[in-house]
Amino acid sequence: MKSFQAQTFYELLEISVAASALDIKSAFERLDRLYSDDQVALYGLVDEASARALRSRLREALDVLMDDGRRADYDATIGLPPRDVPKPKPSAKPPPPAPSQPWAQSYAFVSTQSTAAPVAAGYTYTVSAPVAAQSPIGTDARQGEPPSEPPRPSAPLLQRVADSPSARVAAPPQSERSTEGPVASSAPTNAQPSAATDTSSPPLSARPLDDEEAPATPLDERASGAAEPEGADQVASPAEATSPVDRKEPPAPVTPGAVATSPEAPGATERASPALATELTPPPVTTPRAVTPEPEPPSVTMVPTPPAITTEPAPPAITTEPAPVAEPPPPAVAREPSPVAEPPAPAATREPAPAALPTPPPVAAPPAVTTEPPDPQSTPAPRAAARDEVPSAPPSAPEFSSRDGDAESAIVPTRSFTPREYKPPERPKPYEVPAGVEFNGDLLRQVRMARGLSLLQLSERTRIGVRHLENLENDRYEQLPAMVYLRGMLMSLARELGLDGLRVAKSYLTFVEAHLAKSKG
Amino acid sequence: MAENEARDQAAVIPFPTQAGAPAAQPVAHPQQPAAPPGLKPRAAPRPKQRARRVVAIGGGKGGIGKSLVSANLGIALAERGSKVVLVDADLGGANLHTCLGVAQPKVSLSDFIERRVESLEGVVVPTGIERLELISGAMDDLDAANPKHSQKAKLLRHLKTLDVDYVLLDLGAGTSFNVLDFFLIADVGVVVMLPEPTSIENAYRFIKAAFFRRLQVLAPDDDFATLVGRALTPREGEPRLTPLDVVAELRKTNVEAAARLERALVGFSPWVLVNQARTRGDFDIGPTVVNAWKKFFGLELGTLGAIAHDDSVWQAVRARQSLIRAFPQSAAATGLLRVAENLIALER
Repeated sequence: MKSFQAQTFYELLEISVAASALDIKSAFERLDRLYSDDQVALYGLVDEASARALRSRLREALDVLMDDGRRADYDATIGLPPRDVPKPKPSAKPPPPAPSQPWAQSYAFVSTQSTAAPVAAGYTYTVSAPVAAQSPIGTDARQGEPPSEPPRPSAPLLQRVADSPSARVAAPPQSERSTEGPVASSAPTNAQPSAATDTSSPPLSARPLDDEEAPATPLDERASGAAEPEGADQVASPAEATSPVDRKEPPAPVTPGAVATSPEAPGATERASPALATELTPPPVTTPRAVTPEPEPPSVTMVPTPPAITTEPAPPAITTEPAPVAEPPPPAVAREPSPVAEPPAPAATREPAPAALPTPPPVAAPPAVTTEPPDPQSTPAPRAAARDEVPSAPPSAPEFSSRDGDAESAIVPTRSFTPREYKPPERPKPYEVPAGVEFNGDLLRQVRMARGLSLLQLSERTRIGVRHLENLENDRYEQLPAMVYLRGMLMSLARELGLDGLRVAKSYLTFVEAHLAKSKG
Repeated sequence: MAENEARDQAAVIPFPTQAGAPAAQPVAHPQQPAAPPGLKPRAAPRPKQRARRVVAIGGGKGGIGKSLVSANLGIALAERGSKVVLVDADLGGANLHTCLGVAQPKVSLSDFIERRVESLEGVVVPTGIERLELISGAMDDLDAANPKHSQKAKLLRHLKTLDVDYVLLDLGAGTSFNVLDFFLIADVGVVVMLPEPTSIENAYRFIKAAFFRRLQVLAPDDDFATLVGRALTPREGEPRLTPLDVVAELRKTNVEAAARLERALVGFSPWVLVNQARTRGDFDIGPTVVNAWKKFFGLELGTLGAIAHDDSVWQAVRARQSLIRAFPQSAAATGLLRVAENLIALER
């Protein structure tokens, strides 16, 4: 495996070369978070500069790959065949740019709403068999690392790498075994066929398997890439991300429990909330968890009473989405149906991760619209909507209200904390004495009076006897101590009065000298 | 003399065979041909020549729960039907018996090292738990913590021949050669870390030290450690190379050395275990470490999961009981059980 500087953008982001914009974005966000400065897991491994270099490179990868034109150029430079995307990509891409799919991102435990999602999402402790079955692809990822891997891959629970789909379990084990040796060629190929089944496949097959000589590493990438394809199909239905949730629920009314598993409901809701009106439906989904899912249905009817909330549910009980925002990409619809079929699997997944994600999920919303048609049939959708409303009412009313406003408002609670300022007591300002003035006893007294100091106080502070001070102020030069001492006393006195000691001493001593000279003479 | 010792260790440390062969076998089989010379007499009667798995639990830093994890993993594995021997390899700082709730044993590793007991089986003591036995490291000799090299080599060799399913080595803190050599003979090296910068820093250091020690031991004639070390810590302006880049470079000049280095690299993949996880982020640290390690060094790590922080742990220790027996329902205990499952799953 090459160091990250030498990796292609695809390797860097741990995505397939066929990744959709949605994949790219979520991969970037996941990795960017992974390598943030406050990530304790990096401490001692690399210095901050390296982490920063990696992040900037990730950013660069994102910028290039998100721009179709630049991506095409880049593909050419690394020897990828031109991508003539026959697949639904176009449709997929447009939607993704908008937001980032909220759910997929949460790589943590997010099991993912759509089947594919789990894999892409990263490591999950739950393995949903159906998922694996659908996407045999997943298996490949493992093979990438032939030597050490073999034993491990088998363990479903263990995830070698975050991205490597744990789901693999179902995946054909034999493929793993076989791949070991020759790895590179075989593994990718396997993966691709499966990918082929998906719409996205074409590009995959096209890509040259052998660009790198190093067998092991490239494979990984490949493999992971291959894994993604399935992800890709999901990708195609990125929109689903949010919508799927709804969908699932329908079938799942029973399963809602699964959904409910995610405890973070609050966090999720917040996030969701940001997603303006469009999002309304999805958030509700999350919220339901917080509240008990099942009972709500009845409340569904309640839903119509959107007034309380800004949500749009008002339209047919079924889906709020349509109303909120009309989404451009209808193509997604085609995708949707399939997801519908899958719902069961996804339902199983838990999604604690979402909390972590800051980005608003709104994107998904559009697809949801398309999806909805199916939902109505299932009739669960309405429930979902209902739930949304419901939760709003009971649990955290404030949050929802906030939703009306900005996402920000929802997140930013209460007033800002303003620390009380500590003001140190003011020091006495230096007494302004015009430049040309000479300091005699009288002037020193005036300054002292202006400071509000008594002779006694001044004596205590300067450690000069009151008697001396009196003599000083009264210009009784003959009674003052010797010049050496006098000079020190004047300096100290001046400092206490906020005057320039040197100037005071010099000035006063001239009087003293003049007086002494006069008295002698 | 020195040569002999080098060979001793090379024989002991599992050396991967061809790339890609399933790890379980490769570790077991190379041993077969090598074993006959020394083990001929005992080989015949015993069908099983060696522990199926040697698992070393280390982590560099002290106080991160290595002993606790070892003890409870041992119990968990034993409860699942495996025959397990726990070895307190924390010479000079042994307290595995306390974690198990066993009185200080009368015999310990030192009796074996000092030849007061002929075979390693002679210092094995029961723990009161079925299928779980203990080799204590508790000893009061001054030299206990500093076995001679030949003594250590002998110990390492014999550990591999214990007739059990699992040998769990509870390592001491630090990255001394004593610790690293125990770590490296294991089929599965587990690096325990806490979600704290201090622990994580030490864990990385431990992994790196083990890595370089492995290069040193496996190929004593090539100066791979220096070669790779230079690649990993580039001068200003130079690109950072991964060990596999070094292999590619080396292949241009010396194909055989490159092959040796590659094999040494490939077999090295410790497993990360996060202990005392409190937040969800803590549970993610394992995978993050794995990802970062691969991103920056191009090498594989694995993660065995995470164990939640749990007050029942210190309660169990105070009561001088094992956690799994005292609080089987606690979060930490369930986490440990999951880790045990993962360990078992490694074998399939």
